[in-house]
Amino acid sequence: MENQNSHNNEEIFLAQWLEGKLPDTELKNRISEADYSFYLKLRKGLEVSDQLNASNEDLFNKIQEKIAHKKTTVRKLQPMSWYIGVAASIVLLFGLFSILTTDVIIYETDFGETKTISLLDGSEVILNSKTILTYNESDWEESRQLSLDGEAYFKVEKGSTFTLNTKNGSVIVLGTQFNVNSTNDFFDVVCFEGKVRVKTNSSAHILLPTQSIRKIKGDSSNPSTTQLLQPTWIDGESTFKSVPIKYVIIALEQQYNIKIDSESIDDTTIFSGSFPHNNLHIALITVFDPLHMKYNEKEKRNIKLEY
Amino acid sequence: MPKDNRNICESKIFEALYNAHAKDIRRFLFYKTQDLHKAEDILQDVFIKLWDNCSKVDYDKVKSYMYSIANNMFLNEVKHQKVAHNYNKYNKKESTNESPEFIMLEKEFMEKLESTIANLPKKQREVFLMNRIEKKKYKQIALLLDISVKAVEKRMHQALVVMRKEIGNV
Repeated sequence: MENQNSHNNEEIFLAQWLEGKLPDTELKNRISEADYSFYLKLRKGLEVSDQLNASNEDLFNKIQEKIAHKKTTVRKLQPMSWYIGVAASIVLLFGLFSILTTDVIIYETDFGETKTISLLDGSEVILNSKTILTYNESDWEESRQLSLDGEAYFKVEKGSTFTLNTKNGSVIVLGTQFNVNSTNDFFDVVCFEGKVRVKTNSSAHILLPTQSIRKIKGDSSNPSTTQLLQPTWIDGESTFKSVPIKYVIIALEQQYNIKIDSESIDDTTIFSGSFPHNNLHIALITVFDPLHMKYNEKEKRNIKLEY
Repeated sequence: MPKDNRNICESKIFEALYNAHAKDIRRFLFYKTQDLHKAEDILQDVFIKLWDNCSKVDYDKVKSYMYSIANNMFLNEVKHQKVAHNYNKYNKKESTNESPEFIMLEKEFMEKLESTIANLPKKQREVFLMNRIEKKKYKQIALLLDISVKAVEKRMHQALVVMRKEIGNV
């Protein structure tokens, strides 16, 4: 049997090997090294060739499954990107708006802070504490216009009309030095040099050097005079002349970042005097002692006034 | 030349693209990876990516698009393999699933192999294809062709000898 096998094998052993009837080791013994490695490669090549030519429909079904699975996750994200898109558009719109319309410059001071600013034309502004000054840089050349909330001292260079707008009225000058305090419904303008025109809803005044005008809740007092060459707050002291204590309290609060409870006193009491900016204790004594008011620091930065 | 505006996002068009190109891309990936499983994994990712970008890809350029992503994904896979290989080296994990004598099947070899089969003498080719493609045993082939099993084996043996001669040392 075996004899017959090996005898006939000469013409068929490769076929038998390919079908797995002849083990690799026996083939190796029968043929050269080069032939053996060729046939190993051929066998593998034939297998792979079969696989490469085979249908791959199964794979397509797998792909479709994966795509279907993916779709749901993609949808989940879509509303999010929609929101981001809208948010981005809004930001972009606002950005464009501010670029196209105005170049507004804002200066702001905090409690107890003063700030000196040079304007484009060389004019100088000194801001007292808790003050906001804004102006539009783009049309500054044509009309020198500023808005003020708080107190500031102006040294205006000569040139075109210089207009300062406040809630309580506007101040119009050509070139001069003046102080404006527009805090809440308190409006006080003092002229130090040149000529100042003050316009409010109810009245118009022209101030000459040393003259001042004050309006409280729209009621204006007649012009009075000052002996000072510039406002005292620039040198670290706030000075008041016949001012209701209410506004002095606001000035104190803004200077020292404190809260003053004035419920149990008459806040229309008239005050004349000044307080320093560098010592809260002395400031409180100088303001409230002459008025026979007692002050009491209940908590830090919280002061209660009593008789 | 008028632009072909067929929409890849339509599932019929997408399926047609798969039927037309998937086998060739699988083959292309096999030559690169030498691993049919990896080739098929990448093939899946190629078509998933094509679907994701179906609205952005021109129908005119879809073929080269698919081949470039296939190639890029293969290169990424190689990069990953290198990292994994280094990791294994440091972890002293020596065992592999690959056979000890790895046989490289180049594109040239495979093409020669297939063209040689196509050009085999008629009788040999008939037997060879019945065995390889239809997966028939020699006995079944003998019955179908009404010849002896030995005659079938002889033709198979001859075919293999011819292939050795034709393909030579690649």
